[in-house]
Amino acid sequence: MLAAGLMLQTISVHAGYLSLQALDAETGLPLADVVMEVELPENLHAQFLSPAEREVDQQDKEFVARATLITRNSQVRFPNSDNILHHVYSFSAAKVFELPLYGSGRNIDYLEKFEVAGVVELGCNIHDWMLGYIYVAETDFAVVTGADGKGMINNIPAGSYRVKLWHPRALPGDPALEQEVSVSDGELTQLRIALSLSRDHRLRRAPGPSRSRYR
Amino acid sequence: MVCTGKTGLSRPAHTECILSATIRIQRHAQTVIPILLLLLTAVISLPAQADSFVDLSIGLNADSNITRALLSSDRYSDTSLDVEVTAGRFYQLQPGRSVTTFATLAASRFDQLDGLDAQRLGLGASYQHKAGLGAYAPSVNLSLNWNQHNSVGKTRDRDTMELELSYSKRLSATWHATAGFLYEYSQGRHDGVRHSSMYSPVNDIYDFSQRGAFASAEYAFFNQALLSLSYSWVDGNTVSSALAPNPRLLGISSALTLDPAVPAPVGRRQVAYSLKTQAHLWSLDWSIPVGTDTAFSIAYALQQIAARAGVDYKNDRISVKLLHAW
Repeated sequence: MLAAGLMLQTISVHAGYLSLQALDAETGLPLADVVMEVELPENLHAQFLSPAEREVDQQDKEFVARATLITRNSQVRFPNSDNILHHVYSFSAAKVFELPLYGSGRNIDYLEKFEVAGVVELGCNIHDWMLGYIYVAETDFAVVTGADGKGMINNIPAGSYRVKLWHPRALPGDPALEQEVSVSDGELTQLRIALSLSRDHRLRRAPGPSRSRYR
Repeated sequence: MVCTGKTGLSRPAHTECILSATIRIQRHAQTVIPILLLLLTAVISLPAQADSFVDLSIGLNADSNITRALLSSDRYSDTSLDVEVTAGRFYQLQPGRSVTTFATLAASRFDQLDGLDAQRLGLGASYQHKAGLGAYAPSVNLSLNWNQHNSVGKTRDRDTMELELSYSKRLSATWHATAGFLYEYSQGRHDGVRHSSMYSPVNDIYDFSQRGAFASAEYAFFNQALLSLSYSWVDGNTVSSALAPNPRLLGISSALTLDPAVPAPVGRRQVAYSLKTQAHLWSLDWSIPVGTDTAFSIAYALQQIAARAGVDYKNDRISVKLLHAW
C-alpha cells in the first residue's frame, strides 16, 4: 500500500505516459531497437532536455549496443573491449567524425558530443561488417525497445502529439513510422505497431570460397 | 587470398617493371622468399596489435581429367580428399593500410592414383591499401606466396612463388567484385640429370613461369548464402600425363620425364609432358553458412586448356567443402 501510494505521488497529475509494443510484421515477434520519439513543440525542447554521457562499446568485432538512444547535446564515449584495433567513423549528416585506429583501453576518456538530432550510422573501417546506430532525440521523450519489443515514456504533458518511430531496417515511407497519439493526465496510452523490415544483408558471415582470409 | 586460376594478358609498361623485379627474385626463390616471409612475420609481429586467425578446410573433389590427358585412353578421373589449415595474423599498420601474414599446411589423398597424393607447405604475406572509409571503399591488394609441393610420385615435387595484384570493390550490399593479375614462378625439385628419362634429357617439367588475369563477382543472398562466379586466363604451362610414345605431345613439349605417379601397363611407360598452354578456368561456387564461423560450399569448375598444334584438353571438377574459421 505504501509503495503504491509513493508511486502515485511520483506521477504528475498533469502528465501521462505512453507505452509501445513493437512487432516484426513478417514474423509477429517482438522487435528490439525500435525508437519512439514524441515530437514536442519547439518552445518546450529546452525544458525537457537532459544531456547525459553514454557509451557504445566494441566487443567481438561488433558495436554494442547496436542501436543507442541519446538526447541532443549528449556525449558518447567509444571504448574498445576487443584486443585488436578498431577505426570508428560516421558519414551521417547528424554527425561526421572519425576515431582512427585505437586499441583496447584507449579513448576511454574521449567523449564525442552529438549536437544535432537525427540518426548517426557508425562503421569500422577495418571490419566492414560492423554497423551501429546512435539515435539523437530532440528531447527526453524518446525510448528504445528492448528484446521484448517494449518501451515506455513517462511524464508526458497531456496533449496530442505526433510520434516518430525508427528502426535500422524500417522501410522508408512506411506509414507505421508516424503516429498520432493523445496523452491524458494520469493515463496510459498504448501504441502497438508492426513494422515491415528490409532484408538484412549482413556482411559478416562464415568464410566463403573466395573471401579474404581475414574476417 | 591466393588465386587458383591463372590467366594471361598483354602487359602494359608498369607491369613490365613488376616482372623484371620478379625475374631477379626468381633466381634465389627457393631460399630467399621463405626467409623474407619469415622475417616479415617476425618484424611485423613486434609493434602493432595483431588479430590472429586460423582457417580449416576439408573437401572432397571429383576431377574428370586429373592427368590432363589428350587421348581418352590416357584420361583418368579420380576423387580426392583435401585438408588445408591456414594460420595467420592481420596487422593494421595505419588507417587504410594493413598486412596479413599466413602459413598453410595442406594434404591431398587420391582414391585411385595414390601416386598423386601430396602435401603442401606455404608461406605468404599480403598488403592491402583501402582507398577511403567504409565498406564501399575500393582496395588494392598485393600478395606474395611461396609454396613447397611434395608428392608421393616425386615427379611433381616443386617450389612455386606467386605474386598477385588485385583490385576489389563492394558494389552494393549484395554485390562484390574483384579483378587482378597473377605471376607465378615454378621450379621442380626432381629434375636433375639422374631423374631424366630415355626420351629426353630435358626433364624439368615444372621449371616455368606463368602469368594471367582473373575476375570474380560475388552475390550475397539475404540468408547470407554466397554465389560467386570467377574466370581466370593463364598463359603458362600444363603438365599432361600420357602413355609413351606419344609423338603429338613429344613434338610440342618443352620438357618430359617419367611419371611413376600414374600406373602404366606392363611394357609401357607413363610420361609427363610439359606443354606451353593457354587455359581458361570458369568456376561457380555456392556457399551456405552454418552459423557464423562455418560454411558448406559446393563448387563446379571447368577448365579448357589449349596447347600448340591443335592439342587441347578439358577437365571439370566438382567439389564439396566444409570451411571453419577461428
